[in-house]
Amino acid sequence: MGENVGIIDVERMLERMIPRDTILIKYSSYSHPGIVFCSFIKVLKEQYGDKVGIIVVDILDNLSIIQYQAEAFGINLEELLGDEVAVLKLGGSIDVGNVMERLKVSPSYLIHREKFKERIELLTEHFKDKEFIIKITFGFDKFLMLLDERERLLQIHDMIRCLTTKPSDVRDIICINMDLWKHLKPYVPEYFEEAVLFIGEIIDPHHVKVLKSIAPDFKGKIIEF
Amino acid sequence: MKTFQEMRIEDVLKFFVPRSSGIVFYDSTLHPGSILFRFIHALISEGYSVLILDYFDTLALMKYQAKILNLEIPEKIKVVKIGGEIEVGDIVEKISPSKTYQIDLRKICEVINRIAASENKGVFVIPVGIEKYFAILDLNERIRAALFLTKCITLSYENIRKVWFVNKEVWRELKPFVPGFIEESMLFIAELVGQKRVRIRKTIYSELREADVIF
Repeated sequence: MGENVGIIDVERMLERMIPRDTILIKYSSYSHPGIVFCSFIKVLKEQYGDKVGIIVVDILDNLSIIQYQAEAFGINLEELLGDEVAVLKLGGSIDVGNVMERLKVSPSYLIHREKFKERIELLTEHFKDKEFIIKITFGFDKFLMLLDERERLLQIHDMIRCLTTKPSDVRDIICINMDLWKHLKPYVPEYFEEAVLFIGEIIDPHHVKVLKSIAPDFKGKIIEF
Repeated sequence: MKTFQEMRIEDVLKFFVPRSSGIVFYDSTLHPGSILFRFIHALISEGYSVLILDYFDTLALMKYQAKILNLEIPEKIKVVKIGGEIEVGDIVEKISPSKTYQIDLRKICEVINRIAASENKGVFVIPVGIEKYFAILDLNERIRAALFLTKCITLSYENIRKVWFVNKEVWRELKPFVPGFIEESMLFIAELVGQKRVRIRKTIYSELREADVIF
């Protein structure tokens, strides 16, 4: 890391997170996002305690990869998540954390769209006494790769509509593998990245580089976990 | 010129924690057979058990290279043969490939679990030629096979460690999706850079990052 690159600690980044924020976190197949995720959950719980509701959307068993990485680092993910983090499982068969809702993934997204919305509303209702909700999604890239081009575009359009018209303070963090993401071209990466407010890229197990931010002083900085 | 820290394979084995997984890439200009059999010798010397998954006679190719380089070939290594006809090692199961990956992969997982359950010591499961198997599947089947294998990687028995030997040139042809997805689920990735040298490209251990492992 260059000497002149500004470092921001994750606590400061959390303070600057805005209501109804939408964040895209990119990582490569050669990185270990599980470690950043665990540090983030730990800091989030320490900083906000009962004020925050946390939902993890686990698509196609992606959370089990995160657990696998965490375990190799000696972190017990089940213990870290505890009962208070609600997991919504979309497809897959490996349960990690407190799975409160589940839904089978269908290649025709139109069928599951309404059901998905219904499940998210149930979980949002569960956390209605919280100041805000952090919703972290893993495996969205893997789900999109199962769809054909037209279905992908419809799915993205639908997702962007949901993200930009959220009625309550749900702050979305979508984690994607950029080695898969780039193969969803044309349209998907460009369209989605245009819509999100913040883009970060995991550069090592403890650092995320800010590629896009509405706060001009954050762009190009490194967030330390 | 960038220099790389060198470590002996015997000193690296301790980093293979239970259930760990990784890929060793090689390209068609190198001779992975010498590294594979040196690796097997190191594992046996350290008291591990080895199970090779031989897809489409790739092990015979590795043996051919190793023999020309005068390496000793252990006769007692357990091998599950998937396709192909040249028998190398102690064949514990033969599985005919089908285009319906579900049948093949489930059968292979059953055999691995059966053998791992019968062993008291750590078992290194080493597939060779799995990229050729992916190549016979169509895109949709490949993605589903990758999903299934990712599950096997993250959910294996406690005493299993997995090291895939993969031809990088064939692997890259499996794009889109398969290489990136499988590589994401692996804890380490390394690449052959010489007859006795493997460079680490992905690892959870900072002391191994960009190190060269000498065989």
